[in-house]
Amino acid sequence: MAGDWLASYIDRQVKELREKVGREGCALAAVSGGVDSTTAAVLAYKALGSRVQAVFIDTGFMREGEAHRVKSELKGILPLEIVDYSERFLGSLEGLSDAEEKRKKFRSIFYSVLSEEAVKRGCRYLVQGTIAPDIIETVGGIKTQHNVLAQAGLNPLKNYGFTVLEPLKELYKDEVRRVARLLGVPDSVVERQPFPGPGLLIRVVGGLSRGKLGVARRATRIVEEQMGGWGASQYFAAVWIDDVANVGGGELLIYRGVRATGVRGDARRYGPIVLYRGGWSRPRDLEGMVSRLPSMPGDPVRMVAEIYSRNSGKYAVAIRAVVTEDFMTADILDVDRQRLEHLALKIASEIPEARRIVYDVTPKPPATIEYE
Amino acid sequence: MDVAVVYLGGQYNHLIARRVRELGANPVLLDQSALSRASYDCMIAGGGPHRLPGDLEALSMLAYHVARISAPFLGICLSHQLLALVYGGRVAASLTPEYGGVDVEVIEPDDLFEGLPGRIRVWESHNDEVVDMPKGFQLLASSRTCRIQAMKHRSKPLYGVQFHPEVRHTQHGLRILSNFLKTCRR
Repeated sequence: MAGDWLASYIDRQVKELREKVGREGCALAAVSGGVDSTTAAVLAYKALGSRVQAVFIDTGFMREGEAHRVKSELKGILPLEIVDYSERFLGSLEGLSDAEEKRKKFRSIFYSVLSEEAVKRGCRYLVQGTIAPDIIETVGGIKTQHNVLAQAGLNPLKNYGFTVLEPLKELYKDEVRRVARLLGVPDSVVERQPFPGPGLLIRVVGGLSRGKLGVARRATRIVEEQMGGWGASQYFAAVWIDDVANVGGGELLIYRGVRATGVRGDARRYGPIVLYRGGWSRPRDLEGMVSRLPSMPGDPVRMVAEIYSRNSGKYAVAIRAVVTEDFMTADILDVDRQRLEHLALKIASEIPEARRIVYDVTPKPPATIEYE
Repeated sequence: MDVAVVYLGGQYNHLIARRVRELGANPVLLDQSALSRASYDCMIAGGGPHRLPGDLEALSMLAYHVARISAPFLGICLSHQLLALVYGGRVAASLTPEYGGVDVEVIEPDDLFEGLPGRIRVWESHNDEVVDMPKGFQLLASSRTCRIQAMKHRSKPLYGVQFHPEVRHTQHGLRILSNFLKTCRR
């Protein structure tokens, strides 16, 4: 039954895309290589053929080798042009540290760039892979997703000169994956773990600098290479400055100058991260302590547990791994500490700037999956 | 069967509509202001960022309908609290707000927990809770940190749950919603 609904959903969207864009119109499709944007573009390609022009915007916050991997993966399925705007993004975002400021600035550059690309090609439509949670989280004020405009009260036609088409906006990630399979999108794309639009920008927690971004990029590569078969729906690394203060002694410390995003009772929280330095053998052991977060000093939004630390380096590298289907709620991946220690040692040996390696033990809610 | 799903700005409101669709019924997602013009066989109202009892004004249209509804009604999270307030119960800030996974004991399986184990792990996200159940209601489930996790009216088809049956991490969540939809078919 659910399958029938999705098949008819696709038919409805194809019809709607044809009606909206008409026989002559051209539509620009923003493709990051993730399942949402790729599926939206392939769907539009199915409806409109070569009148869809797909572009990959290199924002400078992509993972190692991302642009070319995506292009070669989509060979024969979707013609894709890579356009490099990394210097513009990096130059405008460097030094910003507030999560929402970073996200909103990113969104504004992203759409200015798309607007330029659309004008260049004479396209008056933009196809994007916005899905239901993007809209729900943006409208609900939890975090500004980079691909939500009209629903956030911004008029795309007036501000950027195109009409936005969002053929997946009613769907959740697991439904998008089913649509992608029906459309013949390659398995490697269908099964890919999500990667946020603003990319590593929001995994560099707090102030953005090129050095910190480089650490996030290397740590991400190691975590993705190592954690592939562990059973997590999403797994990545985040980086912030390792500056901790005691909160009344004991095993709990609080990170200074760093805040992360959370969601509690349907409302946004942007607050401190707590570090636990006591003993543990599995992340699940710390569940009781996580449930007491709201009563801790500073009302922290999430807790990380130390796996490894040393007296050199300046950054905390966090490993985040969650289990979820639709990404609206998420549980932490419960895994042996020993396995995490191996991973931490690998990160420490390859990244001398890392001072401490931690594992995030906070589910969603009260945390979100990403840090910002 | 048309199921009105009331949108209150909550993170999982749209998911409720998805689950209703997956259970073979027709969800109609609408704002509380559209309730007077809507026709439906039963109603589910979800969570939202409002706090009760303080923000009651903002939920006055839903409260108006909940006070008069004859069709089956399921209130989730914020709407569970609203149901309690409308029928004379008391809502206050939780001593221990619950987020994420929590174990809940089923006290009375009829009707929502029919066919479920006596203890389930559910997903929560609340700052406030029902502290006094309204008269005429029966306690269905409790957790260690929040006593009134689920309740029903003794004679009318009115149900409230503090946790979120619509999210995948709640064990047997779909079954709970399906049990509620059964009361709509009666």
